[in-house]
Amino acid sequence: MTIANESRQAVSVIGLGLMGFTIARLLLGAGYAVTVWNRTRAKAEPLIAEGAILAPSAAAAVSASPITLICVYDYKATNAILETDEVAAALAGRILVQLTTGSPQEAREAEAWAHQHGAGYLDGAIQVAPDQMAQPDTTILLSGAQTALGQSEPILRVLGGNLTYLGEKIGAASAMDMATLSYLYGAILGFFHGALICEAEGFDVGAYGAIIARVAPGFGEFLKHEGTVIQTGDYAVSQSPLRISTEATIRILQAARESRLNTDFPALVSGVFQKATAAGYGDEELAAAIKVLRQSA
Amino acid sequence: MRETGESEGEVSVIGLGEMGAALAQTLLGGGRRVVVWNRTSAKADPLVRAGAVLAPDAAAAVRASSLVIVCVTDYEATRTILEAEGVASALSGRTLIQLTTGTPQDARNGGAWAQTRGVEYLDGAILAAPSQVGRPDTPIFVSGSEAAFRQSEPILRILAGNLQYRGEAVGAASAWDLAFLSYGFGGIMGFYHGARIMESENIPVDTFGSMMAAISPVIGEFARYEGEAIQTGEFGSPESSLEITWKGMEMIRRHAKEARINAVFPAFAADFFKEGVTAGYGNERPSALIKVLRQSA
Repeated sequence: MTIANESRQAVSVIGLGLMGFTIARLLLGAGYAVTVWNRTRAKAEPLIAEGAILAPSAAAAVSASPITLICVYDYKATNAILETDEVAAALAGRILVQLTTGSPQEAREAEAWAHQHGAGYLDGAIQVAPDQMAQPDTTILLSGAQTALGQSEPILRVLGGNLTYLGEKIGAASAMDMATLSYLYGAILGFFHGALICEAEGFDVGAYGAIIARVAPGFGEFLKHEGTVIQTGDYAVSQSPLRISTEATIRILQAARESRLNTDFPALVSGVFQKATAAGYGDEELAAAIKVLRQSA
Repeated sequence: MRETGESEGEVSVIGLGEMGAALAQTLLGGGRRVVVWNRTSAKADPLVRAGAVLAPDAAAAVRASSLVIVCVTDYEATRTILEAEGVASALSGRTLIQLTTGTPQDARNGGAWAQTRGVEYLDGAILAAPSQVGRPDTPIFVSGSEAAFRQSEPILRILAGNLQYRGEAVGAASAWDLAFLSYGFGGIMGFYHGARIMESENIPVDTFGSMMAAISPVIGEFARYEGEAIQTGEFGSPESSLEITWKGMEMIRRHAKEARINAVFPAFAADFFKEGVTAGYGNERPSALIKVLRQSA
């Protein structure tokens, strides 16, 4: 295998799916000596044409650089690639940056394995699609040892301007990633039900989306307030009490029945809020509903 | 108590719960002559001290002004008041603004009632807490008679700087309100589960809240994008597919089990998205799920 030009800093990228490919290309563009490896070679060809070095094995890719980024489909794939004797032997003194999506538990296990073999380890969660990488506001959530972060930071900065370090606990990036998705998917499910309401009334759903986009930032400020309420545990009412929201969720459910819409979503939401009211939280701040969710289902 | 005569007030407010009282107070503050009535008169005392005239009964309140605002607990309470002796006949030729919260069907029933009695009718939804009434950004949606809207606009603007007329279809204001609430409650459900993820990983929830405030505009843009897809029916070539959405939700469900936290929301959402994938829309945009939702009423 040819060794990269000594004056350029070396970095390895394992996994050349859409995101891995984008990462490798951005690092090449930033002047790094990039070594790549992928299960199927064909994906590497365009990168080789741009100057990347194709490693013959994952272990060779890890050996080629002080820092290796890995971004594959899931932890099953990442473990199949990394957890071999060859890779384990190559890891000592190097840093592994895991950009594969997984759970906090998976991150903890992977970090323990990496540390066991003398490697530094960072877990990262990229918050954007491949075509939105390398923008000043491209967010990458990171957690893991601060020393590993310090050494990887220049490389990560090439990938996204908004690096958000969440601390040494390795599970934090993945937890924050999932929590963000949870909010996104909840909002979007609510949006879909709103779209059903609009369709039933003959409104333009595109116009509905445009109005939601306008109010979304203000809604975010409200959630920030809710987060503070939950963190401090002070549920004294500052705006409107939970029971008003319970009534509103019942109204959404009632209207869905009247218009013969799918009632699954409003029934779920209303069920949670009615439980909260029944539990005696009606005159507390809306966020008191989380007390219901703290009980196991 | 003075007798309430014809044209005593510019506007009458019936119902002095928290919201009704806030409306009357704000109108007084705006320099309007306000006549009030409430089932129990004690609630009127602070308003009378502030210059409101207390009517002896609902019919007298109606007779006193050409514009009558009703804001009570629900439409049943409204009906009881409007069908009390002398009220309907007194309303004939006047404008009734219904600010009681209800469903679009409630509003349509109210509109039909008003029409047969020669009453100009507007149905409104206040998207704010009582303490927020009267601000430049307070949103009130109204729909119904355009003539009635033009006549009452100056009064309504005192109550809500962000006054939006949603057209002659009288159910529209309520439907828009519910569509907004639906987005909000979806976001809240997802946010709360996100907060539970944070708690299970010992990450401060207020940190999460701040980060969600920061990305809320992006989620709003996402909703707009999906809204356009629903409106145009073009669900192809997604940046992120329904299948990816489902996989993400399954990961959140798995985490909930691993971390032993309440899985009601992720289980619901994962099954919901899965339905869309099973129906063959996995490679389309997440909003393709609406095709399933439309059928499963």
